[in-house]
Amino acid sequence: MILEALFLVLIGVITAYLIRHYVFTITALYSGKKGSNNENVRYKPKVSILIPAKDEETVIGRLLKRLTELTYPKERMEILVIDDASKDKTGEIAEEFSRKYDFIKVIHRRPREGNGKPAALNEAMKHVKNDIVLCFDADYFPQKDIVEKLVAYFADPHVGAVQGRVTVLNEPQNLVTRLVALERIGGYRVDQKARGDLKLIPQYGGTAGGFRKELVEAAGGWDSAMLAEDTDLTFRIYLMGYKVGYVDDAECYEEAVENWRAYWHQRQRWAKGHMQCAFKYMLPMLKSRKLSLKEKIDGLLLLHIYFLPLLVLLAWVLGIFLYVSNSTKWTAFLLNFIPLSIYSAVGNFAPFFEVGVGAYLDGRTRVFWLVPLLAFTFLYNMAICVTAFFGLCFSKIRRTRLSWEKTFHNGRGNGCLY
Amino acid sequence: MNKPRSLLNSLASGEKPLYLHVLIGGFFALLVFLAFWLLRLIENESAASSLLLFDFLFVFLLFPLKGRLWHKLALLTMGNMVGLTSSFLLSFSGVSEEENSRNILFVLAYPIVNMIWIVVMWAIGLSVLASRRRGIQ
Repeated sequence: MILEALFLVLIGVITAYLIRHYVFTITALYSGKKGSNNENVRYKPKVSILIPAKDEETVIGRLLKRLTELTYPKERMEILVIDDASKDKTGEIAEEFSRKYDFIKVIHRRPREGNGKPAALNEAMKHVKNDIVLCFDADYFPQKDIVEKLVAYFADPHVGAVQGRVTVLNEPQNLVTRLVALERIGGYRVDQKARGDLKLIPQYGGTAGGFRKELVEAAGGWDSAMLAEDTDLTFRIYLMGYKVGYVDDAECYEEAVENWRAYWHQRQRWAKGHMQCAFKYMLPMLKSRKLSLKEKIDGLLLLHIYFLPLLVLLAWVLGIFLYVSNSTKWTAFLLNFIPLSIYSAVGNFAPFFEVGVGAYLDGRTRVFWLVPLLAFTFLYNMAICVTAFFGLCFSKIRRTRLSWEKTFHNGRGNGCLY
Repeated sequence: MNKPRSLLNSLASGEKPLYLHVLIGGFFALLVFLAFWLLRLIENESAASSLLLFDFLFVFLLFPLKGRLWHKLALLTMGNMVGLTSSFLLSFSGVSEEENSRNILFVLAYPIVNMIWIVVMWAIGLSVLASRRRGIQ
């Protein structure tokens, strides 16, 4: 009886996520909003652009060259490259650009000055002069007019951060990059856009976006213990009474991970970081008077999304046990429902409704044959989330600090550009 | 310069859903299901539930999109045939729901097979409609 009730609860939670993704899909398809803020593109405040970089010699030059080509007035922006104790030529390449362009500055960090990207960003914040701060990872390649499109949202004083659209640069490289590209299509074109249109909680993604300097300072800087500094900032912004804007037409290319090992490490970091945020922000968010009810519901589902694969796995095992030991008709029916729910609710915010519809909206026609193969990444995500959960619990028990594992970029995406 | 795949030509959202297509699709799916049921082609409740799940997803996700109605109806019929065939193939291979015993192979394989054909048919349907839509644009 207890197990049956638990099984039903688990199915209920999975169904809630399924409905959420279905609603997002329908919203992205039929919402008339364009995901841009073109009426405010004349708003041109001074901006600082941060580029945290560690051992990025293969890609940093590509980004810096691109940033010199931006259409935003150069006298209204400063670019800060944070060379995070690189062992390769990242610092030298950045210095070369700095000598050539006076709006580019380089900050060199020494080894053991802090843990990963949050620590590097904290260091950079000491040097930031402007109120609006944008951030790009070193492997990114933005549109020339991305700054105008992103900062336009800050004309609204309630906007604390903005996020642009990320898409994969090295998509044709292999199967992994193609599948990551599909996840990105669903995650941004449908999921983020729908959350923006529905005034829920679009997520600041840590790159290809920006934030107000005063908010990060008011929050005491970046929490270097967090592995998902982007999710952390998103919820801090909402708890301070500000919003995050999603700008669908501010596009930026990224170099996606190109093998399953790198995928595992990157997603492990995301999953652990997200789970940290779930523990940190669940209660403050529910108690907050600055969030509406629908924001709280969406925030709750967003915070726990990386727990979902665990719940699906648990539901599956429990369902099979119930079927074999004491089958009822509804057990068999609900068991049928679970594998499809893996497609519909598990994954990096990009279940198959969203991936398919995102590709459809992008006018893509040949990528659909890959959609069934996403089952593999979803199952892989289940393993990632389960191990991330136990890894996090283990580190809590042993009181060890989680280490930031950097994603390696080899610059093969350059071949897709030139 | 060989530029990366541009998103600038991506198609804007804000389509108007084709409610009439959804209505006709729902009615047609019901007719197909009833025909299968009356002809005793649906072997068990699991086969029935997977067909209903497919019909629901297909009708509500694909029929509102731009595209010719007869294309969608053909794809829906094809999906139902594939679903029926998969349940036949599973029964012939000994993976079936049994009255008084618990078939562990059935409980493991049946949902996964269902997932595969449902998602494949849905992806094919979207591919067809996206191609047509791109052609129209």
